[in-house]
Amino acid sequence: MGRLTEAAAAGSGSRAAGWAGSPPTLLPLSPTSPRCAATMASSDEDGTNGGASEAGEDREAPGERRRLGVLATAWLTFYDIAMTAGWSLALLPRLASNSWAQVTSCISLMSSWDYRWLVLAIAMVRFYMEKGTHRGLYKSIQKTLKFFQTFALLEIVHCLIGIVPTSVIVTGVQVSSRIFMVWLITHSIKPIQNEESVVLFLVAWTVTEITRYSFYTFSLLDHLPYFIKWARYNFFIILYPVGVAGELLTIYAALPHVKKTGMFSIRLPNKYNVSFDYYYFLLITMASYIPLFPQLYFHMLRQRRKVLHGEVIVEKDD
Amino acid sequence: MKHYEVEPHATIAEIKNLFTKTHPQWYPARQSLRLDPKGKSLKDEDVLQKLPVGTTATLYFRDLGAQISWVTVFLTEYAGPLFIYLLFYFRVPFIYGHKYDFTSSRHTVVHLACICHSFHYIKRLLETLFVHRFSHGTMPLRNIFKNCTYYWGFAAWMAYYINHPLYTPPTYGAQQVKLALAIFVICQLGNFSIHMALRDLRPAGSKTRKIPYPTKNPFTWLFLLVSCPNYTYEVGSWIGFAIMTQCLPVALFSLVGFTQMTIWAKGKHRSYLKEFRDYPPLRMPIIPFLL
Repeated sequence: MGRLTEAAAAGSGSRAAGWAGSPPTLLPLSPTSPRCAATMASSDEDGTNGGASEAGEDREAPGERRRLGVLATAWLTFYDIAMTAGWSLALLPRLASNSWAQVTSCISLMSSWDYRWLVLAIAMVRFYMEKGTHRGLYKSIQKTLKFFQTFALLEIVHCLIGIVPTSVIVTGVQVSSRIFMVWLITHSIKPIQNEESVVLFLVAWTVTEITRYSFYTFSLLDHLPYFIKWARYNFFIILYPVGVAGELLTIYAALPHVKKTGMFSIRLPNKYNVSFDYYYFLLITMASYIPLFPQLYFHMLRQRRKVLHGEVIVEKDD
Repeated sequence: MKHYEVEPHATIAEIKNLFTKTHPQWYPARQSLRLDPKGKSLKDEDVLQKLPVGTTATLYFRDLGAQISWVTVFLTEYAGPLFIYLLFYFRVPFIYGHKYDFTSSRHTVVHLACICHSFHYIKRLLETLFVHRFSHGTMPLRNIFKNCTYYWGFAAWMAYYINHPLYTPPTYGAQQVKLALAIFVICQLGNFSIHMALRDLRPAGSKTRKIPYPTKNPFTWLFLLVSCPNYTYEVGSWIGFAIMTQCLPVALFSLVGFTQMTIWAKGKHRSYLKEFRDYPPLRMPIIPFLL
């Protein structure tokens, strides 16, 4: 007769699969999108997808840490340098005075993305110092903003081909929400370009991206100063709500114009029997921030505890 | 840690029942037992002495969360669209303007579309009750909310436009509708034939898996080219319905469904290849020669 010992260990399966499980249609960009394998622990997901799938097997999330091959590192570095070269030529003339040159040389180690966001930040500060108002700020930086915010689409490709360990869906959703704000709101709805809320989210994005790309660059070079890691995992606490507030206020300000002009909308009757009302779409988008923002925020807080304080997050146990 | 004494030929199912006796909140369907905390779930039919254990076996338990039976989920997710579409078809108040309440469309294709849509979901309900043999009894409870949102949501969205007073019939008129209807009917028959063929592969109450092959029914000959012809026919039905109604939301629904079914078909195809050495090499997962 065999004796059987049963251990009720391994914890409960009902982890908050939350946002990682089912990607939402639009997600406010998280200031700290998990990308680099260096310190970011992958958010585990219970692979129990018995539902709609016919093969309902348990699957553990593969928590692999990929070491970047020589080719991948070379490409990312080249990409960075090429961007720096191209944009320094375009933007350096703007930063004429000596002190600016000193600052920029100090930070020459950073990735070109980071560099460009920094240049954007400097351009914004200079504008405000010269003009004393935020009016016209968007107009002055819009080309730069549109160029490399759109270029961030390349990051989705990085995930697709695997040189960056983040999930394609997560990156895709985040980049999409940024592209949405830049092209479908601020670019398309001219009357709101001088709203204060635009400055609000631009500042939040700029600081976030500078921190984020510094973090990636230093991690890539295997030389990560603690304060950059600290910044990455702490700035979001303020920046994320500020950015979301800026985005929501901007969309809200845009609503009357959208309703009046009926832009981006299709009415019945038409050949394809479909309709779309951009006004209601924006309302739904704003509403979607309500469930999404807390989920993302708390996810990042948990990541922060894991990374900065080495806390082991214990799931509900027996 | 709990200790149980069992016979060597005890099955995992029996052990799960023992576990439920001492932990009544965890009924067998929500238990996952494994030999290794990070390993795969053991199957209910597995016999203790056939597993790599000694005289004492240590099993690890994981709670799969509240479970719901597949049959319940299928019935709910299919009954919804059937009912919801009819609400729009009969132009129940508060959907369209009040002057349209309970009016009827003057386009034949709208009536035809209602018949097709309703037939499709009635067929699915009947298949769930009488045809399908499920390998798993249950799935996590949260899936019913996810699945119903998908089916019910899309059904409402499609039905709204097809039954709208401002609906525009297909550009190529009766020709287009006839062609689309033919595609739809053929694919419905095909889909049903495949379901019957799959059912006949597996005796009642068993969970055996065999390679499906074409039978005398010509609709099953698609098995020569494809691992999951039921999905192929399903996509075909919806494409037919989209052409019939010339309605963009229907096309989008077909696209989303196609994407999901392709993922399932690829998974199924992969497990066929893994399980059967002699699996026919010509077969693709869902689209002959292509995908």
